[in-house]
Amino acid sequence: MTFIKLAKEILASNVSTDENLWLDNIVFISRDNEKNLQTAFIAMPRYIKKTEIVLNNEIKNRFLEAVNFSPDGWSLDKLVRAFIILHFNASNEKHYVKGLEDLFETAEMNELATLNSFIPLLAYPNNWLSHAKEAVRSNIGPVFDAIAFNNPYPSNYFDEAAWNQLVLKTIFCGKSIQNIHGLKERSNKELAYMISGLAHERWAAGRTISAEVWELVIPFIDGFLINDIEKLFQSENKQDQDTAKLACTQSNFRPAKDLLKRYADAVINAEF
Amino acid sequence: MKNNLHVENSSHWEGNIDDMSSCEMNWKEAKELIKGMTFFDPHIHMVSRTTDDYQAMAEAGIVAIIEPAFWVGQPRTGISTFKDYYNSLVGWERFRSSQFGIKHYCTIGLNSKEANNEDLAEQVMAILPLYIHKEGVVGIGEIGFDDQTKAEEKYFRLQLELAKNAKLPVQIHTPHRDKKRGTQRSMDICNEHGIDSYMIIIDHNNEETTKMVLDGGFWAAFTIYPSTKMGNERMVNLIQQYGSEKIMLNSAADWGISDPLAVPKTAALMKMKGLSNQDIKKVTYQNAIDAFGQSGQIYLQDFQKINRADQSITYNGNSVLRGGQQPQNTRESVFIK
Repeated sequence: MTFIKLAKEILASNVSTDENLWLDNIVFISRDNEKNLQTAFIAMPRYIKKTEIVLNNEIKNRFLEAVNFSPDGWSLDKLVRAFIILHFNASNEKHYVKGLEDLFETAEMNELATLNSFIPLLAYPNNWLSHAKEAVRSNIGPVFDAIAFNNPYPSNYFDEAAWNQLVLKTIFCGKSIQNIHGLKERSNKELAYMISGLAHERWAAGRTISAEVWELVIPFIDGFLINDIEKLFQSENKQDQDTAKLACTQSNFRPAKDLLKRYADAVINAEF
Repeated sequence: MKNNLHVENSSHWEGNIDDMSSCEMNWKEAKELIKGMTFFDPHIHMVSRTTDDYQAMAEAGIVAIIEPAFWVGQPRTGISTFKDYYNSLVGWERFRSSQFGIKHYCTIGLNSKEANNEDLAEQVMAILPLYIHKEGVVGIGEIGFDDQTKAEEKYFRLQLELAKNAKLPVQIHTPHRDKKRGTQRSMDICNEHGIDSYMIIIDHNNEETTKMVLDGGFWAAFTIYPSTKMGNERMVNLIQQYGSEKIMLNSAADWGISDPLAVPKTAALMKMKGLSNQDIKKVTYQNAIDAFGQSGQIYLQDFQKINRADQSITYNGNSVLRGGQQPQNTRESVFIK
């Protein structure tokens, strides 16, 4: 697999001689021996440092081309774990899945986050759907982040209900949606209404909601959602006001144009 | 400042009226004495504690803890609940702790009480190897004797071998009943298995066991726990008698009436009684790190870089608990926003 080749390249320039020795040995003693690979995956932090990997644009792009994401910013131990996992023999599905299921089932916090980041690299992709959805339900921040951000798996494999939960939970937890893969492609009316509902709850409680979330609402503006956009025009927050303008400019819903005109006039009048 | 009323009303008061430091000093005042100090509590069962405790611990200067695997109060009936419990020690609890800027380590093992359920014990032994090599697992524990049965001895020995092969320290629970004999027996068994006493932490010591543990070259841990284990005034006397070289303190706070601030509180008391800062640091921080650090799993930078003035730094970009909740302590306020 291309990921292995690219990973090897990066590892060569990032690991020390001792670390390399350990890794070579693991690959050697693990040929067709799952137990050794599992143990290596678990004990890895005892041998590999957590230095951050910084990639130049050239290699980053090669990763993006090959697997649709890049390990830029990962810590070294995470990449080594990916490298180890990709040595699991995938020729026998039952055997392969069992070997990885064991790891999922007994994973500590960082292992679980790592496994979820790697789901897009695993063979038999449909098999990992329940783990990916479970990660969205997780209360452990790094585990949720691993499946939600910079990970192409959910946009490729989640049904609409699961996808909407992922996006909504991201917003609910106050995290940015910008690093979710396939955000635009998977936007849908149901989600737009869920976001509106969350905004109403927040407003009722005297709280706010990040302006960026409205980009998921814009394509679905109708006679109901337009009221939320009007509310943004009335917000004291400049970002909300800008978002409202943008929404009206981009929307094909005719009343949005009237709304824009009305508030643009109001702003001009206020300035005089 | 003396609280005479309290003394007069307390029928259980046994101390000298001139030596009533614990009575006349409340924690709020005592906290000032240990300002800026950092603490490591090497034995505390956070699964049984609340977030209020985590907040108070962080505020009192606790930067790292070890959570030993133990009996959770309700006997387990199957292997799955053991697995889930170990998973929570290396998963959920680890994350929960990080929310408060406290580094969480654990020791993994089959506790002595449940070693008596041999069918289950066998199954637990089979899954232990999956956990003991994990990141942040700093030893095998807490293991040892409860009723001192044959089954307890069997699994104690098996786990000592596990620790020996994995080169991990061992955290040994000593029994409440027939303690002195149980402690001696535990040490004899460790010696039989040829484990370096420097790798062994004998826990829950008292005045009766201290000398033999230290003479044997083991680490002596003390649990400051109201009524049933050590009181902290007795503890100070013991440190004055035996020195700070191989002694460490812990709270063992759990589901019983216990105090998650036992370590910082005892530090304040030691300060009041005139012990040196160096001795205080050894027994409330450094010795635990030296002993459990032999696992190769404790990196000082993991908890030294924590900036307590701005807790949000430690949240690592993760939103706190539910929603965008902030790590503030609101207990003193009527308003809950």
